[in-house]
Amino acid sequence: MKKINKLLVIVAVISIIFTSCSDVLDVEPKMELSDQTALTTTFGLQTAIIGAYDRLQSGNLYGGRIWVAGDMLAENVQKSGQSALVYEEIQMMNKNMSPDNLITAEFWSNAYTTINLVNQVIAAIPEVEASGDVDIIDSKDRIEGEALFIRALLDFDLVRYIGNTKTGEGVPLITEPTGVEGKPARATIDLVYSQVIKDLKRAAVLLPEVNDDRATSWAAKALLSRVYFFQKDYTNAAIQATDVIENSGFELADSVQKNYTPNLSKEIIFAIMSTPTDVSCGTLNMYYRIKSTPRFSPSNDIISYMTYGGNTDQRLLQFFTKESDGKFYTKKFDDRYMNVPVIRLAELYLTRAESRFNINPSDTVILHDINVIRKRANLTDLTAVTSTAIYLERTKELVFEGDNFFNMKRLEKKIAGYEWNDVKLLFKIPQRERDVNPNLTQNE
Amino acid sequence: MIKKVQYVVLTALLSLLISSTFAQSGMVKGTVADLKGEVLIGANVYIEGMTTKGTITDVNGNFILENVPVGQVKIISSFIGYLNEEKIVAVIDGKTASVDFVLDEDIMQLDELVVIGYGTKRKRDITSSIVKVKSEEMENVSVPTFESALQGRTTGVQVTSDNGMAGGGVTIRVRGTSSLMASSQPLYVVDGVPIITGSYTTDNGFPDKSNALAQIDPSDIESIQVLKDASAAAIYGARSANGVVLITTKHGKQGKTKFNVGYYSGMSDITNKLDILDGSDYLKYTKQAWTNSNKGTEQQYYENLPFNIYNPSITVNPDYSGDTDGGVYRTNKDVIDNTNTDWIDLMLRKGNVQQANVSASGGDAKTTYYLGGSYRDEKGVIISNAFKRVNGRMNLEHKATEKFSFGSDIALTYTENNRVPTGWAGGLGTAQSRSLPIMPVYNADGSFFAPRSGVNPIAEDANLNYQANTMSILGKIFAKYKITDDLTFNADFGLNNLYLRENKYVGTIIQEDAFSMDRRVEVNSYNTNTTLNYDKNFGEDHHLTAMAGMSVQKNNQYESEFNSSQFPSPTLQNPNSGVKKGGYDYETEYGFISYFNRESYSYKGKYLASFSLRFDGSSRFGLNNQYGWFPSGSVGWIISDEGFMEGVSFLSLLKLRGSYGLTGNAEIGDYRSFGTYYTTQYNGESGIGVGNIANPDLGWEKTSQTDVGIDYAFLAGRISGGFDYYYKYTTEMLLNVNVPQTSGSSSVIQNVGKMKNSGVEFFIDARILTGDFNWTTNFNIGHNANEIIDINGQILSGENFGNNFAIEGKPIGSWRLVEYAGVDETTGQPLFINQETGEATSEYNYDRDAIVTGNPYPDFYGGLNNSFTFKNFDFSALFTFSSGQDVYRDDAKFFQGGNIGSNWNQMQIVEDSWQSSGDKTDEPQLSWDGAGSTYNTTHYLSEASYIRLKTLSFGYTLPRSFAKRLKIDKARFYINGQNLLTFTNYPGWDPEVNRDGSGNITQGVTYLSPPQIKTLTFGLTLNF
Repeated sequence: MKKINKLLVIVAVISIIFTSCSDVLDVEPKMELSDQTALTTTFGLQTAIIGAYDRLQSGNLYGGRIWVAGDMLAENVQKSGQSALVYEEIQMMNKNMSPDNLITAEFWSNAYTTINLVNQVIAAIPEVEASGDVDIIDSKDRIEGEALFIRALLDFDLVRYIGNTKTGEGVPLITEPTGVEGKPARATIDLVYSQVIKDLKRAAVLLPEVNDDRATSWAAKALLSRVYFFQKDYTNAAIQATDVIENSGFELADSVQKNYTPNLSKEIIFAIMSTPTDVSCGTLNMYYRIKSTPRFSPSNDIISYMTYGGNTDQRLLQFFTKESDGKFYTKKFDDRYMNVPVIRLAELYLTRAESRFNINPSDTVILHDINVIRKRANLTDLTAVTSTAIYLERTKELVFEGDNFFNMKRLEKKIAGYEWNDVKLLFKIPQRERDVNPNLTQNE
Repeated sequence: MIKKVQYVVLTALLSLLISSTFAQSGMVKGTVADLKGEVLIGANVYIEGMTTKGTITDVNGNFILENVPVGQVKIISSFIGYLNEEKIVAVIDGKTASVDFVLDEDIMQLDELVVIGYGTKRKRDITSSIVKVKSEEMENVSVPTFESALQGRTTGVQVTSDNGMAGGGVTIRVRGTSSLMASSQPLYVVDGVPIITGSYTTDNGFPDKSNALAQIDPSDIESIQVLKDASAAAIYGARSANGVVLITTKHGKQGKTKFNVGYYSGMSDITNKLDILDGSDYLKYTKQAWTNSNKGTEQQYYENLPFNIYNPSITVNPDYSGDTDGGVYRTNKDVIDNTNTDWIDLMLRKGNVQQANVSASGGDAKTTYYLGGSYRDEKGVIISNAFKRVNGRMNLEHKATEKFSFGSDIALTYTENNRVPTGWAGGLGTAQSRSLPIMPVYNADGSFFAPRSGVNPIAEDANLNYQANTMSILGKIFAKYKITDDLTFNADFGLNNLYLRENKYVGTIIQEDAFSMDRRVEVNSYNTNTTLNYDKNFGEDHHLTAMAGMSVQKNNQYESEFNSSQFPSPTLQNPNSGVKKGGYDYETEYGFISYFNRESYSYKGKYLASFSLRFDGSSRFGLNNQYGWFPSGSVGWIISDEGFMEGVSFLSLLKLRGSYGLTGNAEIGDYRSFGTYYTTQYNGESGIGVGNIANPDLGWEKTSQTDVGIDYAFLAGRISGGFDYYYKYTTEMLLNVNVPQTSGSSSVIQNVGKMKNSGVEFFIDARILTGDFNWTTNFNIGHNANEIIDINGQILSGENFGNNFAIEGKPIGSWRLVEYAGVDETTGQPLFINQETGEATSEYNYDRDAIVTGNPYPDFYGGLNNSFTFKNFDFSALFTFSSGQDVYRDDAKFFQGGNIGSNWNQMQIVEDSWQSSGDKTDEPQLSWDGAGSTYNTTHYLSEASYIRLKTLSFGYTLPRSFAKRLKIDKARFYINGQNLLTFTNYPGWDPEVNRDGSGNITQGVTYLSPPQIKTLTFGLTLNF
């Protein structure tokens, strides 16, 4: 009898322990959202769009290397000797990028991660609508417009860096979620461009004119102008540029320096924004900022461009300095909290000037546009323009903003001794990507 | 006369007492001592066949047996660790017979209890592979954490101290690495409680690991058992694939209160100094490089040195004319030519250590206790690096009734670790590399010299404060109830909590904005074990033990950090004072729920079998696969007990055993099976992005292991040892399988890989001489071979840095490097082997020419210990060895690559660099900016085999008679040395190294890693 009592006690104790522990395995992530619910509300879609901007902010994309890579390839920069260059930078400087080059690999991975995110958002809009979430009615145009803008921006830079004009091979064109099994091949350059133009045109319709420092219809049009320009579709480039210059309300900042600060100047059409606790410019600071033992100083070519035409140029005085090691450094990225401009009005003046120049060199708008830029830089007006003058002005105005490399390619100039379309100037498809996707061909 | 009266009285009294029970009986009294003449306290003395009529010896080793029946009586004395002694005594009615016992040590100790999971087992009955280290073996080792004491003493357990920093990490591998992604460290269990391990300090700028195991004071440890094969470890199921380390702390024994006081103090220094250039050599070789590269004049050389000497009179204005500034040049040259700073020397110091510990243990028939406390104060060899520990432990057990007992084992520990940056992050790492010998420490005005590139490490040290304080609680309460003589119920509830607080302040000398951080980590783990234990003999021949139980563990971790930068004054260092505030928090948890049982059976004491089964559930795995079964079985046969072996008298023990079982690995981090969206922010708004891809099928990593072993002993145990062969096969290995990034994800975690480890282990213990001069030798050696069988055809790079890879068909951590072919005699340029043509070329093409080479894990490793005692002196020397492993010196390509303009100081080996046509050397011509020389090649892969005098100790114990006069039981003085001698051909600091960021694949890589230390301590222990 006593024994049975004891056993009962033990059984009771054990069963208490067992039942109280049934939730031990019931553990769910507390710091993350479930993929089952993340994109089921309008708010979820909006936060996913913010997440996509956050990706653009990465130092491997518009927070830095997407600009610096072009400047390394175009030899707009040289090793400063203050901080050592890493392997992938040395490769870019030497034009012998391997398929495991980290800058190209990170560019690829961040770009497609972002594209997937916005594709997920686009795909989820009808589902949110169907769920009866009324907020979607007012928000869906803006959400879809931003998604398309971001996708177009990335596709454009992907195809510029990777597309092989000799073979016509572009990059994989992903317009809807592929799932992890998807193994897309490279689309043609033409196909990518037509999708980019299509996305931007639609984004320009869907987006509002003002949008909390994010993509607007003007940003879509300005980018469209850039896309046409580098496609050498000068007519359309000029049309879009004119629309922005005349109708957007953006105007040149009184001093060019105001574009590289924590405040958005009235000139900046689209920028990657910084806040004091979430800066966009860290990578650019690392490469250029004088107090941060910069890896790069401007190349001698750039110095000769900048000093050409006298020492009153604001862009020289404000952005270049000679330091105690006898080398020139750029001060453009000296602010540690600055927004990173992606497209600003000055570029559209220069684009329109050159586009019109290519259509009709005697068009008076050309001289006007060039002199608008020169005047702001504290230079005297030109009375006549040449293609060289346009090239010089564009190079000086947009120096270290990722323009010059593609501009040289557009003009089919030799770059660091290579033909403009030499495969050595192209990013390679990352090896890890080709290892898992045999449909991808390499640039070689 | 008086004596006679006494006798009569005594006899009368005794008769009165005894007459009612025994008509005719006498007494037996005497002492029990060991061969050295030391009395044994608590030894059993009993009449043959009447164990219940026995007694135990008192504090002086005396015993009195009463009511002994008259006649020739066989009296037996027994004591754990000693052989029984029997004596025949003639007992006369009413009289007292005298007999003294002198017990001989039981060398084989087959009745010694070995701790296995959820129970103990006699050594004789063990059928699996378990290695035990006792407290006596650790006594001679003045190490901060117990894992270091295992090195060289545990067959098949590879122990590597990552570096010699105070509070630093230790890497342990039991029978090789059996995982790629999950942890490869064993499970640690203290008194039945799985404990918190690993490094919880932030690695932001302080990359070297800290060690949560520092919460355990080695002097509290009674024994350590390492469960190596599956049949031993599988009782821990899903977490046992890497072996299990069971730690038992000291508990009190019935008897008088025993005090133990120990103290040691000593000093430490680095094991080896790196040969780098001094000031004049640096100038000589850099000028040579300048000239070789045709860079220009000597004046331009000085201008291009990677720093400027501060000169307040020079102001630099924007100057577009391209003039060189002669003023800068002249100032530099004077200072540079006259500066010779030994930065490494300045960053190092003689370390010192002291530790004091006190314990009291004892108890009565109902209550036993152990109370211990210790204090450790260690100053590392790197300036500002220090570690302190205060520890207290109380182990208590009370028998409320014959059947019911309960108690607690509780330890509190507080540690303080002053951490310093190392490696790439600064400190000694900078001192070895970017701090050039031509840079002064101070400017002429007394301020810190600030190089333009990098940081003056002395200034950094003065401007940096980083302390990590940890409070930990490790303990359990338990109850035991004896339901019947054979059946016991055990329940315990264990806790391990760790509270870490880190404070860091980085001043404006180091970075533009001062930074301050207050980070807290809280790890809470609770664990319950409930078991029923059954132990019964059926007749003479059958012995059955069985255990069934369940266990629950829940662990959660909270982290939060508050930081800020931009301070109004350098005297204000709390994060609240900074202008720009930031921080984060983090929370994670996991749970395990487990049911298990084990049955062991022995027939006639020589045919042994054991079986166990565990059913484990973990929150870490996918809903479709949350539970797993972990069976194991083993058999043993003690051949030496067979009748046919009787003639082989020299063979004292020969046991064959074999086991097979399935173990698991769950150390992959929490929530990996969930599909998630991470949260982020942009421009002040919250955002999300695609995180983990869901895998509801995610399950255990399974490792099956077969083990075949022999335990042997000859000559009454004077020579004994064991031999094991094992084969571990890991399947369903957790792997991040790469997917096309065009999908928006990089990888998906899956159970796909396969890997194997196989090896042999051998050890021998020999008592070569006994008596006054006692000589014992222990030798052990282990060999493990690893091969990756299947990782989906991927080539996985290491967790971090260093060019280690995981490649199918190769051992884990092999390197992929271009083969170095020396220097072209005519041009002085480095040559590499073109793998397509097999010829040497000056072209470096990694994709075409990289070969898979090297192995970061040793072929053989082990230890050789020799202990001698002569009268009151004792001496022991433990050598450890490790053979066949390679180390990739990831820093050497900057140290000696000939690329002298890399802003690093150079190793003295640049003296051998190519000078002129016809020179035969492996070191290329020095160049100022030759990009080619910083390539990863086999030139920097070095064999790192070594033999090391790990521990040397010399002690003197006060003679017993003298100690007695001082009223103490034992007093020993000793000198102890750690790492005093190292024999190696490895060209870096020290062959025992693991850089920051090491993991399963990244192993055997050094990058400005801190060196190992040697330590010499003096100490004493007192027992009274």
